[in-house]
Amino acid sequence: MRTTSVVEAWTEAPLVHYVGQASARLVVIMTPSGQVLAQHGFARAVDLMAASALGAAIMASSGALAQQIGERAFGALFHAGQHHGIHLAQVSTPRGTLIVLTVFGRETSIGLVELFFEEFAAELKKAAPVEQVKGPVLAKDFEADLNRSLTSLFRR
Amino acid sequence: MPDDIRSLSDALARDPRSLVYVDLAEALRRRGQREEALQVALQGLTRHPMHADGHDCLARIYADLGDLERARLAWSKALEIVPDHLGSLRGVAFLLFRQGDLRAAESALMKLLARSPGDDGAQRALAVVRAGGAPAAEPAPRAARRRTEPRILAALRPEVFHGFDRATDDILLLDQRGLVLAGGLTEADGKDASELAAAALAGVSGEAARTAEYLGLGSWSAIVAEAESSNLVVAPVGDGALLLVRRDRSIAVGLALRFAERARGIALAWLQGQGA
Amino acid sequence: MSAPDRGQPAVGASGAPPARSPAGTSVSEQLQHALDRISRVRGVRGSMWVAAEDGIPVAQLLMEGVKGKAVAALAASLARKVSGAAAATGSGRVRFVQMEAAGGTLLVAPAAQDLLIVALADSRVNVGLARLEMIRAAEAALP
Repeated sequence: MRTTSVVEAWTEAPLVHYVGQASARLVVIMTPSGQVLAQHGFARAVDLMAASALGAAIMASSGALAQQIGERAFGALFHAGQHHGIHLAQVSTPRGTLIVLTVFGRETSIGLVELFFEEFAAELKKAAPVEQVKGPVLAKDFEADLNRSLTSLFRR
Repeated sequence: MPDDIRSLSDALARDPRSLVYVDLAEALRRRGQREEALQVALQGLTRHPMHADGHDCLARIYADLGDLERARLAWSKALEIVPDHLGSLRGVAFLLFRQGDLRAAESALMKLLARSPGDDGAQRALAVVRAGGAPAAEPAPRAARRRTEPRILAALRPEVFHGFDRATDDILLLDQRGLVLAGGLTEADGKDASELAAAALAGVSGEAARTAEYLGLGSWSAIVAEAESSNLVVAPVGDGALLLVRRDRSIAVGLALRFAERARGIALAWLQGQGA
Repeated sequence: MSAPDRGQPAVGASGAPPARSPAGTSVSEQLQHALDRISRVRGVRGSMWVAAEDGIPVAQLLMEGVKGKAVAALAASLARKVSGAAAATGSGRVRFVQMEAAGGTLLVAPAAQDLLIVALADSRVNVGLARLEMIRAAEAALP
């Protein structure tokens, strides 16, 4: 039963390490547009799509709010639920800005997630390739890219 | 090959789509043939992906193999299919307890008991979990404990701590997977609590090692916990094993530590003799 | 925050020197006063109040080089695991935890309001005195 899968190979080792240290249940690494680079814990593509879309949207909204009040950007966001918590944060890498969504249960804590997220961010920065210059993203290319990512992540 | 496994294998061979794969996998698991059990369970689940009992069986196999993350996923799947699945509720409660989440473990056990009020094992586990979150009742004097059940498992373990005070009641040696190696731990009523304690302690060892390393403290050498009715000393032994010594609160912590150090020396010598 | 000289209190988290805690002081001052007493014990490199469930520092008094976030998160996680083990052994609620290591000691005492009081110390620490101060702080600092 595969629990971690990646589209971009350089993310795998940092992700596996982070999941082990933080005891995270679900993790998504994505671009600000919601394109998934790697995931851990998701069993269904539809759940992953929803999580990445919502995560990217939350970061975009909080970024807009930060601008409104004169902040450059907020740090991590944390939401505490009864059984789960979520942690959402950006990481600047040579490949570009990435967003990491972490869902965790009561077997760990936000303190541990934040602690190991800092290490994780440093490992991602170190491992990331330099971003290639890209052309404009067309709607049909985006759809094709998304489908390719999902197929790759849930390949059996 | 034992008769039960032979007959179950034959039944499955005659009808590969049969649900008897669960009974076969469980029989193999109980005999310690975990890899074979895993193969049977996974094969069965490819034909019956929505079979809650199959996922429950798979989870138990993973738990036996020490892969708690996969066990958790399998039990979660079983509960997704059948939210009241008793075996999976029990399994999830065990995992939560092992991870130290007492509140969630209590909640899972209460849910289980709501479905199955006569489950003695769950009742006992709930009492243990609750004891960790509320003041303990006045403990019965140790000499007055009643041995109400034959302690078969404890009697079969190697007598590593022979001659030590309360060698099979308050001294436990376990491996890094949380499995008992020697000694024993009993509850106030004389029931054997060794396996439950061992499962809980395995998590402590890993956490201590991580904490000590991360904070730049080097290798950890002992944990002393002063609790309401006992003092506990936990210490690593050799390569991966763990020793627990429980002493009554009336015994000074310093003495408890000395006692634990002696027991640790004995345990180390025994492990080395086992080739561990 | 500067490292304390031997026998001298460290500067508090707010930058003000710690004071006695007369009746009527704020919760924050009470917490800080408790940390001050603990940090005066020889060998203690840092002390903090930690939210037990979240593993996040609430108030702290640390020497240079002590990673408060890490201490808080890991101490809370260790305390939770030890509590589980104590429950499994029928030992009841945990009052104090001491983890000894080659290079120092971590001390944890559960307090009210789902808080922990945590101290990180080197090998020369007077554990008995630190323990007394921590248990006293855990019992008295908050209602």
